[in-house]
Amino acid sequence: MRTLLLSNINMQPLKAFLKPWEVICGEFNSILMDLSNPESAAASAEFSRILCLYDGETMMGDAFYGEGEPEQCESFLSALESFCAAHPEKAVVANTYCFGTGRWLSFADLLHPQSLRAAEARLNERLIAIARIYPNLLLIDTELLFRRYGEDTLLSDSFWYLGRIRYSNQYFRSLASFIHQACDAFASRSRKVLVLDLDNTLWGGILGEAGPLGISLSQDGTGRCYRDFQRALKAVQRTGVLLAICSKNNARDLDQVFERNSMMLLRRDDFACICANWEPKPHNILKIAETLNLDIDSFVFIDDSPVERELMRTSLPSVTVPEFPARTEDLPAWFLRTIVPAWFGKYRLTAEDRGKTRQYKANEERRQLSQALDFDKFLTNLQIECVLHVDPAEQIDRIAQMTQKTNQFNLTTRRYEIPDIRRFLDSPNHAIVLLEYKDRFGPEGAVGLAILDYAELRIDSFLMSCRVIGRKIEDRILSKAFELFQARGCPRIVGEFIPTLKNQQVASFYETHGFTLVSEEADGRNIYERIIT
Amino acid sequence: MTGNSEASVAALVASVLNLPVSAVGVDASMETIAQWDSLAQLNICLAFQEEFRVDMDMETIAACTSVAKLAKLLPN
Repeated sequence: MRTLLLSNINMQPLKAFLKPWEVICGEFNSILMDLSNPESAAASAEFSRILCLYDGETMMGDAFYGEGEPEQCESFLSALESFCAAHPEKAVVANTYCFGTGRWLSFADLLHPQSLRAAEARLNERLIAIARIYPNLLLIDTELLFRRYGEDTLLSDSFWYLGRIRYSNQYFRSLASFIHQACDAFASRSRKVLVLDLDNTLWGGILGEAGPLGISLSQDGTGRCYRDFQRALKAVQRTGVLLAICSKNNARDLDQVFERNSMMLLRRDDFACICANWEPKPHNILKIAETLNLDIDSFVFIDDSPVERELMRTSLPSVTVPEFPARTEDLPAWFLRTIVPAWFGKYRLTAEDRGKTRQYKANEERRQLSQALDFDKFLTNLQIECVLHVDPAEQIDRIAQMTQKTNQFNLTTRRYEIPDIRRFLDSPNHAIVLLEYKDRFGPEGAVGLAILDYAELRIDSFLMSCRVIGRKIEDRILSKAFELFQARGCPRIVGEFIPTLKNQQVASFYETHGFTLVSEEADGRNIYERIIT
Repeated sequence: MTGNSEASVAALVASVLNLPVSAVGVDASMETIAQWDSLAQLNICLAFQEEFRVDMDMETIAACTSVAKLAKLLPN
């Protein structure tokens, strides 16, 4: 994937910080030309990611000093909108407008009709309106960087007048990291599970010594740091992050905290899994992974103890283990400013994200039911209801997210971003089958997906969320796929299995579903075929 | 002391220009290194300013086009 960087100023120093991306800079000040000319480099197939990182003040021209209208801004917004519409296959990244603090109107800027603050807000509203329509546009709020580090640190007038470089290296460095993180969030590449220690992490003090009401958790003082941390955790949990506890404590003591300590904001129901015991923590993390049926490389582990962190890093290197802030008062801001954007970034939330913890808990109840009944009875008892959608454009975010996140029940593990999915939806040679699931424990949302390629008579992707594995619903997607291929008069279809470290459980999927192995390719693909007429 | 700062400036120049450390000596300058053009000069100064926390004005950026001149900006 090659990246083209367009601007109206000299943004060339950013290139080095965007590594390992392969970035080519457009011609100086070519941003408008590049976006509007259908023959431009931006429009060519060579670039699949276009960065539009412009300077809002320069684009305002004389309007920044109250003279005339910001015509260039208008042209840019229209060009950006048309470009996003014309190139749904490209990911377009644009910054928001963010003016410096120099104001010719001084204190009058808030109320004056030519207010820069109002102009900036109007331009950003337009940008957001465009981003709501075009799922391939990723807006990044660069104002956050200025709020955090300040313009004295980030702007550089000497480089500006010498070489049209507006910013210091600190800006380029933090902007690059911001863009990397936002693109990960855009492509739904975030971690899934946040595993937390308890003593001196979720509250102050040692539960076993201080007792359920003696731990530090309060409206004021040190206890408030922990309470605010919990508040932030609770909010992030609503964006689809699963919380789990992995702590050396007596389970009964923890019950007492949940039952009796009214300052404890996080409730038992907020956690998808709780391991409070005296087993080594890596052992417990594996148990949590097994319960949730998720791989540990989607886990982040937060613990105040350097010994526990080190043990986790050496025993389970694929678990992400960040350092812990030295000062308690830094805990809430550290979590929201550093940990969330780095590992749990989101750009668009789907309905599935909001109900994630409840879905995983329902899954645990289903598992308990399955242990009590024989398998067929269990399935009948679940009262499964599935709805199959073909080319559901309104679920484009979720579809891309599923291809990014599903590892275990995934026959080809092809990762797609929103622009790719848009291409499949628009192409007459492709169909997307999406399965929505619900049972007596509640809805799971969209959990099964197949991408069909009619031109090559091939099932390009076939995957199921690990939450619903083992309930035989994959058969329903496959039947739907057969039906669609048959309707097009296809006599046979091809299925592929591409082995990865994680998808061994579906190695014989096609064979058990009436397909015959026809070849084993040098690149590792196993090709299967089935006659369907 | 000066020798030390010249070596660290040379290393920084090498890293900005994507050259091996050995390719940039303490006597290196815009004249002796092909990749050290005017755009590279800006990139070197951006990195220099960040690394050594030295605030550079326009004239200094334009004038300090060698490892020796850059090293002189550092406190002894």
